[in-house]
Amino acid sequence: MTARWCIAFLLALLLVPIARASDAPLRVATPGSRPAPGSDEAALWYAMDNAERELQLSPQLVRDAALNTYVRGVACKVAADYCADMRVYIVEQPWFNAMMAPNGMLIVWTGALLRARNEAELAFVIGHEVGHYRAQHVIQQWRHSKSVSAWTSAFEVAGTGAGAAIANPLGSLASGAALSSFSREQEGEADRLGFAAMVAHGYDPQAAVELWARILREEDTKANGKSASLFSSHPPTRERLDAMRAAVAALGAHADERDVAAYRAAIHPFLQHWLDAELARRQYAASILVISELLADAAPEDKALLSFYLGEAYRRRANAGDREESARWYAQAIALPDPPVAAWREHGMALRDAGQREAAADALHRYLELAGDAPDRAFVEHDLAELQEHAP
Amino acid sequence: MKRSGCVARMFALLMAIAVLAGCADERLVQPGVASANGGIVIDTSLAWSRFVFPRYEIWTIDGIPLNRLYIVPAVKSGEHVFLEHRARADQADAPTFHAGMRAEEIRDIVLDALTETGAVNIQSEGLRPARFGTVDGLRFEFRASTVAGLRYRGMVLAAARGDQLTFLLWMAPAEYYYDRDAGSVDRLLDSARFDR
Repeated sequence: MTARWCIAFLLALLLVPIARASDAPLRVATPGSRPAPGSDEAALWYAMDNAERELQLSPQLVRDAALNTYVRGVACKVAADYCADMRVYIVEQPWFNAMMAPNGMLIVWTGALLRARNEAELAFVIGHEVGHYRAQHVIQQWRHSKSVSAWTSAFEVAGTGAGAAIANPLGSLASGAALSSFSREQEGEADRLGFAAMVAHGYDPQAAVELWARILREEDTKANGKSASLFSSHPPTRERLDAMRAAVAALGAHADERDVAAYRAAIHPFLQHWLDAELARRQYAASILVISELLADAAPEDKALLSFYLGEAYRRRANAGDREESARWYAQAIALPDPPVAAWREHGMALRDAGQREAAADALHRYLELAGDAPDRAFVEHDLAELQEHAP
Repeated sequence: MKRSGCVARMFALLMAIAVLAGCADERLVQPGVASANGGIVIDTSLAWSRFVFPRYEIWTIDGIPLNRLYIVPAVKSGEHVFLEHRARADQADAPTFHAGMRAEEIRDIVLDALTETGAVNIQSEGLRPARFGTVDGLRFEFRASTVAGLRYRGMVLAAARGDQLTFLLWMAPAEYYYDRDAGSVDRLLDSARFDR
């Protein structure tokens, strides 16, 4: 969130008496339609258009053409006739979240892409957001909020008037912005629309159940009981999971397309970068669960990388017993094909801490051989010299 | 959970108000040998405005948004690396310093704390051993952006002395300001030492 957000907030406070809520019925939101000029919805779109222009300049925007093409392709499948009304933006944020503004700006955070396992799960997430869009939940919620509280309205105008606020992990939370504060009924309706869209396109609906179950497990890692996911605010994730299970059961026979291979190919180039970002959240209980489950579901070529990052999560958390856990995962990483080079360094450090000096030196030598011009070469050479100095 | 950027900005605003109200002591640092709290001595070829807070200092040449040198002495084991608050039970994963941390771990908590303040796209380079006077320490450089896209570059000198961490962190916009002063600040960091 930027100073512009704060300024926009103050300006919005001044504008509240001007921007009065409308009692107008919802327009018929057919594909390609826009709100009538002069309407309150047109004003909201104007704010969203400004936010989108800011977002287009954000350093957090993922601009990789192949990934954007892939995600947009999935979005268009579930958006169907509304595809042409939608612009897709992938934002570098390690939390699980996605959102869609009423002007057609669809945002998917990299944390959601890391956590999904296949195209069917991504289709459900996007289908849910498109559901909010098609049902015009933002304008409904905006009008409702304005009728309840001028303060809330001001927050929403301000919150949606800055792209940075939308891109920021807590921007929309802190402001209570319209994009993320839907009612229980609206979230349920969006789930149903997203579910129907994925089923209509032949995706396996069980994927939606598995995604929600995974998000619930991540939420449960939070000691303070707060949601670990920004996507699942209200109603509770368990209630939505139960609804999804009931919907699958009611469906009976269904398609089983998940497109695992296409999804993996699309996200594979970013996996290491997103794992770094995941650890930088410093929510290690959640990260240990997320990476453990990714590892369990991973393709063979990703297992060494994920084992290493699981070791990293334990090492950085540094609770009692975590050092031993991290050592175990580093050892597993180097025993698998194509481990990251840093796994040799950490394996060596773990062996050193365990008093296995000779094996530690071997691992650190291996690191230096593989790492080439490693930026930390001087530190590792220093550690090696100490190991040799104290050799029996 | 991360503090929101707006809260961080409000904190900065409060800090600015505190400075204006005289809560922080502002002094001019002339080129030459200069001292900071914590028994830190440096040689500087630059003149700085020096804002002294109870446990750390911020020095700036053109104003804090344009360039700033944090001088943070004596971070105790278990304390947030930026001394923002003491780690609490429900913030177990905060970037806190712990005695015995390796160089990479010290670098990581400094950069994670920068992330907390709202910096994005942080990349570090050049982690290497360095001397903080007679104490073994580390140096590294970093790049980061604000969410609005302003790109910064910076450099850090850190050393664990006993069970306490001391570090100097300088950052400035990559456009013009970093290049203008990087050489002088590099020499300043090389000269840093403890007076006792």
